[in-house]
Amino acid sequence: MEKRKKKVLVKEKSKVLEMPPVWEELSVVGQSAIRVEAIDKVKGTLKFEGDHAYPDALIGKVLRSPYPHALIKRIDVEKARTLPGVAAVMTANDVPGRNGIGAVIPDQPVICGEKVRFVGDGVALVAAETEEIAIQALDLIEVEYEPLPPVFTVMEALNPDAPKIHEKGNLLSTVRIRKGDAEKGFKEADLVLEKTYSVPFLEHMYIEPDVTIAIPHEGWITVKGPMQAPFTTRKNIAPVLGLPTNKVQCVQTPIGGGFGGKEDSPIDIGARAALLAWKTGRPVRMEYDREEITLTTAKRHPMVITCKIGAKKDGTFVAFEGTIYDEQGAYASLGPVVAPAGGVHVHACIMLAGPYVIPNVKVDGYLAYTNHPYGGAMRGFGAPQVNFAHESLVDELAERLGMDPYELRMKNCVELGSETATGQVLDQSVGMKDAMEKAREAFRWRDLWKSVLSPSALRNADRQKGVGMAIGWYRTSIGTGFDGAGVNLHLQDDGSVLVYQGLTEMGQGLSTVLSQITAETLGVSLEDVRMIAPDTDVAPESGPTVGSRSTTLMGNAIIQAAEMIKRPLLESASELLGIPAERLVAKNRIIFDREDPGQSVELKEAAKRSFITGRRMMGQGWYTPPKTSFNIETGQGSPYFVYTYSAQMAEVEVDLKTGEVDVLKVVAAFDIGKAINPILVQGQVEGGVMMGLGYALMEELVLKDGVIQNLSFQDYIIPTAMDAPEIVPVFVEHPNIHGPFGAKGIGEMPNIPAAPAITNAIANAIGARIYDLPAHPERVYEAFRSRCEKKG
Amino acid sequence: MNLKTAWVWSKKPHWDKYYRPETLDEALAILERLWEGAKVIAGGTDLLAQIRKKEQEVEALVDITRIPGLDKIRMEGELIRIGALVTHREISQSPLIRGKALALAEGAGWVGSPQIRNMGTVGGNIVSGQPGADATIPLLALGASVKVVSRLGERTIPLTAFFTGPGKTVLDITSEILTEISFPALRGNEASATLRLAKRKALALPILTASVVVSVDGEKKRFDHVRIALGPVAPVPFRASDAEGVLASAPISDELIRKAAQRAAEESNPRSNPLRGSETYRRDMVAVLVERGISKGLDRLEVKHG
Amino acid sequence: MAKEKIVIEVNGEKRVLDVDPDCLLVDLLREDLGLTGTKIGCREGECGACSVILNGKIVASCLVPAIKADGGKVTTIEGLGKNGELDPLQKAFVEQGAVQCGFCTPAMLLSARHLLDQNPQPSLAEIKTGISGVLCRCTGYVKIIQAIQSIAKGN
Repeated sequence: MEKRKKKVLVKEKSKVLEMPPVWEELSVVGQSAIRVEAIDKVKGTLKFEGDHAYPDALIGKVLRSPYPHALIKRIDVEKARTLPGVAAVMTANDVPGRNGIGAVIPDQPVICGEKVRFVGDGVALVAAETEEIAIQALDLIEVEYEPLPPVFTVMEALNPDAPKIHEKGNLLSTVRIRKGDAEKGFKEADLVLEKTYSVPFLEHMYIEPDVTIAIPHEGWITVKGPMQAPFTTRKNIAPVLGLPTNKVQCVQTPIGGGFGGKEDSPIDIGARAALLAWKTGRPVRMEYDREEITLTTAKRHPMVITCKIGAKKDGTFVAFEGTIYDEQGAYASLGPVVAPAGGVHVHACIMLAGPYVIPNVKVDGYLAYTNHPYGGAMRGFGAPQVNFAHESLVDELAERLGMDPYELRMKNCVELGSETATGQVLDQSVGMKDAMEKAREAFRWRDLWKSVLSPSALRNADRQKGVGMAIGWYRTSIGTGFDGAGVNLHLQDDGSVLVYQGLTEMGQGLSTVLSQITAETLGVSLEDVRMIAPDTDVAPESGPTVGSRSTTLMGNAIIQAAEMIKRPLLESASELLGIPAERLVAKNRIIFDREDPGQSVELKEAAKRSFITGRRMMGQGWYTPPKTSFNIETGQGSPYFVYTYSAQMAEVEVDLKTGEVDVLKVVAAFDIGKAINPILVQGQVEGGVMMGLGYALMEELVLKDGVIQNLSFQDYIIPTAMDAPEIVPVFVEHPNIHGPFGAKGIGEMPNIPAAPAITNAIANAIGARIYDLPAHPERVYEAFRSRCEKKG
Repeated sequence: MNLKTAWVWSKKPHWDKYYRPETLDEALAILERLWEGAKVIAGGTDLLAQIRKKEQEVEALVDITRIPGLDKIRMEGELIRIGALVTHREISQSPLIRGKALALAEGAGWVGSPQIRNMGTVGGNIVSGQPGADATIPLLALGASVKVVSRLGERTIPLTAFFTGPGKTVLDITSEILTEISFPALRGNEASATLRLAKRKALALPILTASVVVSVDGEKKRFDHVRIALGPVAPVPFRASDAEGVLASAPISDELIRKAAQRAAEESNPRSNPLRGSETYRRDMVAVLVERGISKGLDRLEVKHG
Repeated sequence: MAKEKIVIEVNGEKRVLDVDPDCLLVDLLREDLGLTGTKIGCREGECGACSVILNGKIVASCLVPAIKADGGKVTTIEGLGKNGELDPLQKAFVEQGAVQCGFCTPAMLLSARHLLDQNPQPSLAEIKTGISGVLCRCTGYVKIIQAIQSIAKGN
């Protein structure tokens, strides 16, 4: 079992890193191990927070603004306060600490006192013995509003005369990327194409509603519920109550779907329940109804994106220019820039030029407040929006150049050693082309792709098939100054292991994957590892479970922690076997001599010896990724330390007379560095592609005068089983030297190129482009009809 | 709705009493006693959601599913009679309906999901008065009538005269219960089809539903008559009578079918709706679905047309 | 509000209960009987997470008044499987990666069990229709469908 090293061609003027060693044969990592909590889930015995009953808890409810923008002139809660069964009614004056929450900037009042900024903004809190009484109490609260002129688009918001939603003005962030000279580049182009795209608000629609219980103690408080970011939640709740961080305990309960939504909705519901609990001295249960969740929690940012690309006749890209008008909504949430490259907006700007080598790039991004619900994190964090734009543009460019869209992309996409739009040299782990080739093979692109048929050829057809593709890239982790993951590992004297860390299982398989990494590194088996649910009182700071960072960062932290235990453990084994520790390997509960595997001892015996001899049996890991850099004036730097790459190809069938689209098949290929658990990765791919299908064909929040028209599952439609195409996941592994066993992130990548792969396939079928999502039947129908009318 | 609590949803719908009469007389007596405070519940799939959202306020529910005799599908002479309590699932799987009223089985088969089809009833669907109700539209095309029972007796109302506005019917909810739907079974020279357009394939309210009944003469060269029902394209479930007129006793030709489909689009009156679609699109789709529906009907009769 | 007495057989066990007139079956199961495997996602019969088998039919229990179920038989996820053994569908879901967050899983399993009880050899289209009443946001339905297919093939 020799360690092999591969050397890579060093390109002129760029440095690439040596490929990481191929690890010794792995026994747990790389296996499609069964999800550790699967049995509980199929039996229905796993309790989500909503499954716990607290007979003595009060029920909390929020009074919400019916206006998108208004001053609160007067609020009178007396009648509500005196209703029998009401334990507390709170207004802004009753907030003991900071009346502000927000994942980045605490600009959202927990209880609005002065003004409301979107329909659903909270103006009062009620805690009562039953839900019925709480609702009656809400009805008794008198609020006098003075409506203000609302602002509903970014363009309106940026107008100097626009009503100010926040004191500091409506422009929240701007980002500029300047590489080379775009103007000059366009002059050198043989073909220039410019288009504008728009994408709507999207809703996570996790099936488990937001829910929390806040339990006050003497001088400190516990808040429990589904949450992707217990530490961010704690950091927000403490100042609201006027408490130091260490007096708030946030405990994560099983999450029934998060997708980024439960990164900050628990702050909203948690802070409010905590306020009521702190005030009344009693536990407060708060649960948002489905409509309430859609009304008030964070969404995927809508954007209007104009982009322009210039290319030579042979397809070489020479220049790219883009402008993003990014709608933040009423409050900052996760939109604004967190230095150096954190936040939805800056991430979107960085990703806009796509995974392509383009010498001249100019991007301008504007993030503005509006009187709409606010944008936050939703799977992809700005990438799905811009990916739709650049992949539609590149595809249309291919059409204009008369090139196969695959060949055009292959000619320009990044590879090892390429320099990106921000001037970052991709010095390791770049499987873009490999993923594309594998996708092409699996999809039989060469056989299926053909030029678009003319309208006359399609005139009498009822249905028409088409194929399309898109590529994309996505960072691992969040690009902020703070981006660390901590873990404590405890080996017991019987060989079992406890893991204390703060990243959250929400169905993606985190508990299983991290357990596999623990088992592999320590040499125990998967069943020996027990992960303790994240509890900020007990787990080390781990950051949020977002940005596809968990496997990579926490995996590395676990490896560090395991090393602290392993050395003394091998020493103990060495004493038992009489063999030098350097020759010993721990694997599958056995510690054996590498040179003579028959010489072995059970790992638990070595553990017992470690315990008896007072050797260290606990390890701590603290992993922060390589430093990243980004200048928001020039847009230059290395904002993220590694990227995952994906190429997706879709086959659709369009009903030309109605515009209905059937997605028949999607091949989704990924360079994921290393699949720690292949079946779990497939699951992420399949689910993510379906989310991308929803984005492409049916999902959008419809707003009228600031009011959401489709609050529930009935009218905000997500894909059902009957909409499911055949999905074929394909993986290649270009190991990430900064990742555990070469791994990098996967959670968000699948839902990014899926949407443009589908809309490009629609374009291939009908010969007309969709520039606004979703491509619901009416849009597709209109696009096809316009094309037929134009060409005659 | 109170503007202040416009954004509050009661988790649970409320009513004070739940009656389970075992006879129609008992049920009618309760309705009369409670006047507008009582609502009849069959499957409950529409009603409960409405009560929860405070679109309806009730004191009492009167569950009529224990009243015997209202859940049968049978053929009597030339008529198919369907009890009001027959579920969408039973209709979609009934060999009799599939054989002699296929459009109804198709429409019922698209309601919501298996969960909804197992509870939702055809009577409830009609009484909801929704212009696009999935069972109502095919029944309209089949020329159905409903039997409505009160303490004074019973009356039979043609479905074309049953609806007065969105969600409104001629049923007096304080004194009447719909008990049966009947329509002439399709004969050998008749076929039917229901087509539906929606934004996804299950659990979707329709952008448009079209049901068509086609009958041809002995030589299969001329239409005898065609019935076209559409929704939601008007405040009530809609029969495209002008379009039907175009095809009455007319020769079978694709051109004429297209003309009729166009006429149906012109005489219907869909409105632009941010969730369902623009007026022009919905009108265009009327023409598409009507044309396809008639073609399908002819295909089912094995009539060649061009 | 006066309570009413009802008798329901739940997972094979006869239960006599006093319920409010507006008690819903889903709340009866979860709150009164502690059977929290049945979930609530929307309370309007759209998401399907509350699905149970009532009198041999899969229904959305959030839309069923408890009194309506009087005299009836209900099977919840807790009633799937025999003698403490997992139902083959449950095993298949576990082994084939058909479970992610798990919130829709009980409803999916009951829908699948109901489908296979009615139709032991369903086609792909019939499987998709059979589970179309339960929304899943995590899996894309792919492995759920595959797991059901593997059992239908007489595994």
